[in-house]
Amino acid sequence: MAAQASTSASAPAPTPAPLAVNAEYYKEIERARRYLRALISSKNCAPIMLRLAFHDAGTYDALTKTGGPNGSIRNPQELNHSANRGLETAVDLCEKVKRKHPCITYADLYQLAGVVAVEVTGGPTIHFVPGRQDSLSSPKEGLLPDANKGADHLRSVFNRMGLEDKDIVALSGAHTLGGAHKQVSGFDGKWTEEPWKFDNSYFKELLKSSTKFPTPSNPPTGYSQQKPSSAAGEDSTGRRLFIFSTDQALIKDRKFLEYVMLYEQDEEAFFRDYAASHKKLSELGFVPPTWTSRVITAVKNSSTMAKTAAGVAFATTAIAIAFYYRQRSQREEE
Amino acid sequence: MALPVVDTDYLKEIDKARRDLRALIASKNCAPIMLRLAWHDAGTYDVHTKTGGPNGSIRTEEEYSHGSNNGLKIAIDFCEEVKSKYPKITYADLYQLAGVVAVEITGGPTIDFVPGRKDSMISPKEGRLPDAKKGVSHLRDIFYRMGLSGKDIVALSGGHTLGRAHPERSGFDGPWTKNPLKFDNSYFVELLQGESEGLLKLPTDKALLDDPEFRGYVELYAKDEDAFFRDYAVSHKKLSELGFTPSSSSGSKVIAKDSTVLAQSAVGVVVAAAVVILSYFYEVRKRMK
Repeated sequence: MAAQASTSASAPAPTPAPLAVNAEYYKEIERARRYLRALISSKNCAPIMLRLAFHDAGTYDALTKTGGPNGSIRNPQELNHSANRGLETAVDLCEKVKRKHPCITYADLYQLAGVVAVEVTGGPTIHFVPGRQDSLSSPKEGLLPDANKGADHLRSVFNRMGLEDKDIVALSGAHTLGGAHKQVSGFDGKWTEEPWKFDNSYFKELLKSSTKFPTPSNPPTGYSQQKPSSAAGEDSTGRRLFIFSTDQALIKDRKFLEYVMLYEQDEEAFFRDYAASHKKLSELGFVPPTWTSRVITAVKNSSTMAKTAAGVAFATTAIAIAFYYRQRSQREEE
Repeated sequence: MALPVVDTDYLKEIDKARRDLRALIASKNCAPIMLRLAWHDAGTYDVHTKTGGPNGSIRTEEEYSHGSNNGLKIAIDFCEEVKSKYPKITYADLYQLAGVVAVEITGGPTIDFVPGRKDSMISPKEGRLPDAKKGVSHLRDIFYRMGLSGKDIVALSGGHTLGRAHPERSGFDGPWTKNPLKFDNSYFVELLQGESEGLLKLPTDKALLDDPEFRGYVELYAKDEDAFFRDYAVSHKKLSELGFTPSSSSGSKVIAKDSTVLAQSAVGVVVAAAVVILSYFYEVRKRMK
């Protein structure tokens, strides 16, 4: 099991023991995945679980190779960062899963929770590779995006992680889920009509909102959409549709806007790009286990036809090698 | 009604419907009633006359008004939301897909789903589904008529890990387990523990302890959740395919969709091997000249 890194800021973190990602670990991951499905759907907490996964991963710095999806967010010091306000709920829920499946690292657990959150709300299947190590070494505050800022800030934060424009827009699409809460971020509202359903409606609402914004002079932080008609205004609980400044930045910046328009029209394209970007984010700084162990997982998961194809391939190679050696020994006899 | 054409478009619709069903079932916490809908559509099958089975007939007023189907109109209406978005999919496929997703969302095993069932508006007579007040021989009569076995009876009874009975529907009241939204083997654990405050045991549940074959499976599943999940997935798939023969083309399309890392590596190795062999022969021929 991975050793816990030092919490002291000055002492260097000792290298944790390598994580044994063996067949038993994979089985536990699958059991945890099923438990997470039941937990997340019965408690309707997909949005906050997704936010937990993003906020653990999003502290990555590609230059210094610090931060990233390593479970450090459970460290009270990091949970208290203002960007992480409210996430104790998600950490506590994940603790139930950890108690039943203790051998799984927190880093893997939080990312698996994020993947399952997207799945149970009707989103794309995100490929999950286990094996992340845990760390209790928390990065300083300020590495996650500030909702009050704009395009330059988004690029600066995401490029630092090693992500690009397409990732920024695709990942912002995760605002299809959930909402903002006054006691957490200071804002109140949701981005889409159905905050429990993962689809491309975030981009549709974003483009609709572009015609209705207050003028830039003295803009308030966080906007509530002023909908003249009640057609797409409030939900039955009275929560208004709203967006952050960082959401608005996606339609004000020309390059971001291209992706917004693509995803608004083509949900499959959004799902495809989202799955790729989410996987990237969930693996920042993570080197998946060796190719051979991945092949073993793929063998376990693949269909009969794939297994047959693999068998034929290996047989062919073996025959080819045997033939070669036979020819060689025949030539040597001559 | 004709068999649906299970082409690439149909398969894509099935995938989208699967995702919509996940969102619907998770957000409304309605996995139990969706599972019951799937089971009650399929469980009317008669293997001798080849009538009934998973063919969507449960949506007819005649059939959903049967006493054993009390309350299922709710699930039929939920599924209608998905059907209106994906009209190509048959009701028969939709209800079985909903059952598969209900098990998945609540933490149960993955059940292999093959699409292609055709719809029917012909409803069988009332009385083909099990009567909760009866016992062992009734269970065998009902399930053997479908073409299922003793093992299937016990494994499928494990579906009571989800949900509850309602006085206004069946006359019985309460959940079978402490967590009716979690699919696990606790139904069997509770059955062996005997009477428990607030938890339900139907006469047909208790009957599983009265028969030695059934009891053997109950004891196995109570101690080995993996064995339960494995057998449940097989029995559920069987039930969901009673009277349905997946066409070979739809089957192979489903398998062909399975592009795994391994299949791709296999192709790579074959190509590499072919290149090695060919260059070797070329080398030999050159030397012979």
